[in-house]
Amino acid sequence: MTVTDRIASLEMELALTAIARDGRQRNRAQDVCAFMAAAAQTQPHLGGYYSSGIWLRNGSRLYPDVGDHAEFSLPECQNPWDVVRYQLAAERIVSGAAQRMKSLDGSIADVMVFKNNVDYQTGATWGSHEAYSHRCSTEALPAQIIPHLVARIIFTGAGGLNPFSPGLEFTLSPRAWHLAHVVSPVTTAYRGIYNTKEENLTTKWKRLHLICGESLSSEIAAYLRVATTALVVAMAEGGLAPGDGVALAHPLAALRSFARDPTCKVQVLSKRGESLAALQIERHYLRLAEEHARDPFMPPWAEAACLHWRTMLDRLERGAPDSVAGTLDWAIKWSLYRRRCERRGIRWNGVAAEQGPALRPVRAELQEADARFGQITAGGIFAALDRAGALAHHVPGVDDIERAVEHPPAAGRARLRGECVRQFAACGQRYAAEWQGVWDRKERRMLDLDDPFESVARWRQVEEVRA
Amino acid sequence: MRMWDPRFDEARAGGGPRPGGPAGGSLADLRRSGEAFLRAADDALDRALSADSTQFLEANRQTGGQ
Repeated sequence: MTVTDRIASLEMELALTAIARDGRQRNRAQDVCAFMAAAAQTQPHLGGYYSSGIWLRNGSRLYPDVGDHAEFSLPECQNPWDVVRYQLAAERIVSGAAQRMKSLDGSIADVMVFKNNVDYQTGATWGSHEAYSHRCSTEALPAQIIPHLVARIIFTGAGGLNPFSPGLEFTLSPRAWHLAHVVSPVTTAYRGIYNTKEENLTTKWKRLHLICGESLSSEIAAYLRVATTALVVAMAEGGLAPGDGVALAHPLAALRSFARDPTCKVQVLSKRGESLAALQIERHYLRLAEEHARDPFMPPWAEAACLHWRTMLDRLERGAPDSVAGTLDWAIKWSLYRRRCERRGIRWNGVAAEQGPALRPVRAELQEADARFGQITAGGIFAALDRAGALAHHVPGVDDIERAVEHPPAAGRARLRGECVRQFAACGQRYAAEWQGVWDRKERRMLDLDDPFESVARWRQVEEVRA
Repeated sequence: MRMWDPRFDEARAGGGPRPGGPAGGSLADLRRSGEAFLRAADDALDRALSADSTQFLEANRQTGGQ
């Protein structure tokens, strides 16, 4: 390990719906259990030593989570290309499990899995969380990163409709409207732009756990989400105080202002009393990252990431939303939704405070399109557009997805965990895994994975093992 | 497979990206790609949306997670 190495990863909560052949409503909790059982049949795995769910050959974890959502935690990755690669691998694994679930139960007509993060009917939201290793001061980090978390939605927003608008109002980020605080320790209510949950999963590093983001389909959006945020964390850790100068007077209000504006031109008030557009805030962070890209506290991929970052900001500045219409999730949805309205004979500029009679018929269609956009199982809109060659979102270097389904990242404890799964999956309950270790119940020994950068399999004897 | 920016296609081909340069494509190219996008959008939506979106939304009701 060098000082510039960093861990980044994602947790994706998924929306799963099974449709019964006879039209009866199915039990979602039971369906999530059936999905987990099907996943266990399609993937060699180890069970959890403490936790529920299964650990897979690529070092990831799949488990049932709160609110009857299946959740996929990616393995610990050491660069943003790997994060996107393992997200795509996770989606293939999920799709395969859904197909198996359907094939196992003749009463099921279809199993659909979506990676959107809101339900417009119930007002519910669920997460797409990010994790970044760091050694910053816990007290100092929020001020340094919050302006970035607010401004980055111009490229990380999933797009959709404002879940709380009585009308039909486009937003760059539906999740933004579910955030009620700037800083908050909780994840299931009163969510914050910055989450202070302390679950480090190692004794050697702190883990920044962000819950303000959304699951994305565009590779470049998913890449920039992780790359830019990891660089801001690195700069904060390096003592550059990257948030100084762009501190926002009202971060939550700023987030919502940016979320409302597909032109990315709206300005918000800084603490200094200046007016700042999201692009200006992002350019402030980028400039600093470019100046320090080769400094010892920056990751080895910083310069390559800055090039993508700059190119995206230039593109947005050239004329958002049209300049990113085939590239970013929110901008693709913006084009799709306006087109749908146009075909229904409705002129819609994305802002409709009241749900007038002309808009009502198309409202349900757009809400369905919002779920279908990122459908992981067959029928997804984004996947169809991609197959048709209508999108330009791929990131060079995000490839070899099929290998990532079966193999862990090349380095770190995820590699050791994945190798254990491959080696011991056929041994039944003898072995079990967690983020910080693998246990051998028969020989009463443990593979210590406390260090996320561990490279050598070191087993040690333990006095007791859990049954 | 289309890269998100033409410059990165050039980089893959060995030419190296041109930082700060234009993103390539004439006005006619952009218009053609816009029209192709709208055709693909119509097709994708027509295929993806169910016959009854209200019924779909009812069947797909979710509860809150994290």
